Amino acid sequence: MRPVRPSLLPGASARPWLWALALAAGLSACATPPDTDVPMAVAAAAVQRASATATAELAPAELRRATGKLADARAALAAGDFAQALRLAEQATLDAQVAELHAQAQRSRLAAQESEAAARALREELNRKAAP
Amino acid sequence: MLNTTSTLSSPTLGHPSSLRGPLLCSTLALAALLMACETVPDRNARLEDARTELAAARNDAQVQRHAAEEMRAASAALERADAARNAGAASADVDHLAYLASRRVDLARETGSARAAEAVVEGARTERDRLRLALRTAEADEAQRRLASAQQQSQAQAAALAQAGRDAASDRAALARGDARVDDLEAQLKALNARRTERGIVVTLGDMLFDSGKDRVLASGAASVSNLAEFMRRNPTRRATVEGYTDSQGSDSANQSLSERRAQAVRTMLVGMGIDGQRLSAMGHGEADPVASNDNAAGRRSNRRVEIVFAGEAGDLLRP
Repeated sequence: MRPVRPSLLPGASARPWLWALALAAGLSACATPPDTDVPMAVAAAAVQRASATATAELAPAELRRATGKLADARAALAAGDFAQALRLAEQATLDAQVAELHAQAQRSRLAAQESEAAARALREELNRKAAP
Repeated sequence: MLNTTSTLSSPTLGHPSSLRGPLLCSTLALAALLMACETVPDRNARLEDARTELAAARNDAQVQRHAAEEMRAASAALERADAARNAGAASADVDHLAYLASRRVDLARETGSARAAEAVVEGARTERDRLRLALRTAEADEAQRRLASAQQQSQAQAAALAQAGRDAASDRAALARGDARVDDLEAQLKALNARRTERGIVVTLGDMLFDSGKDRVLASGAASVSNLAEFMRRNPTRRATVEGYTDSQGSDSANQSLSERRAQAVRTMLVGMGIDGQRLSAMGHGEADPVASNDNAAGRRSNRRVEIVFAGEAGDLLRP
């Protein structure tokens, strides 16, 4: 995962001033090195969760975007582009959540239609009963 | 922290392992920092898109109502993207953060839509429950109405029955009155030793009514005739035939004549006691139909008699 680190560490420890510099750079917060393990795992889990049949049926485009993003993240990781991998993992996670919620909203809207139809049918029956 | 340098350096800088000397190193690092932070904050298209989307979502009633939390997260994401842009972060990072903000807005929109639909489902369920209750109530009311109607009917029936009962009671009273009349008649007839025959009610005036060969009613029989007259006064609608009989002594023709005179004698007595003659006819049967033996004096005395035959009336049929 971190092929650079072993070769860098000995050199860094040899120069204490470099530590200080690195610390200062880190504090600037402009370029924290990405820890990709957790975001990648989170993205994979989110995409897997969103890949349920119901979501695939109701939000296929959203799900495709999430799975595609996760694949890109893995590719970036394999290529050693951690920053990109991290970004794509984060995006894949939200994409997967959006897909899941989109499907859920669709289901809820359908349920709402059915519920209203059922209530309407009942109301009509009541009106028929009340009429005579 | 240690591999910061590698991130910082690439791709704009060369590999850090090539750096030599503190001055050069710090200069490069400073340059990298300045580059990152002093980037001119020009407009980022993705960021502006995200801002527009967020503003649109803020105006969405469903989102306002059902996705406040998600909107806060979207706003925070946009603020992070703005902060990164203002801090001069790489456009890839700003793009990324803007993308995340857009997706957060999507999440808020979908959440709002889903929860609004769920609220509709819930409302429809409540409505359905209410309607079911109303339906049950309507059915119960209908059943109640039918029950009340049935009760009303049965009340009407009960009233009819009560009326019928009263009618029956009235009938019974009438019958009782009739019965009383009949009972009264029965008592009177019993007192007269009357008997029912196919000819009608027959009262026999016998025993010591006439001497042998005579048509004059004896004093001993006068009481019986008086009782008969009383009976006829109390039953003024009844008509009667007075029929005379003799014992077997003497010729048939003489006995026939004697029987007629005996009948006439009794009829005359009854008329004399106030009974309308129109209600009475008289006839003789001679020595026919003896009620006792003509071989002895007692039997012959019984045969010398007058029978009063009352034509049947409707009331007579009540008692066989």
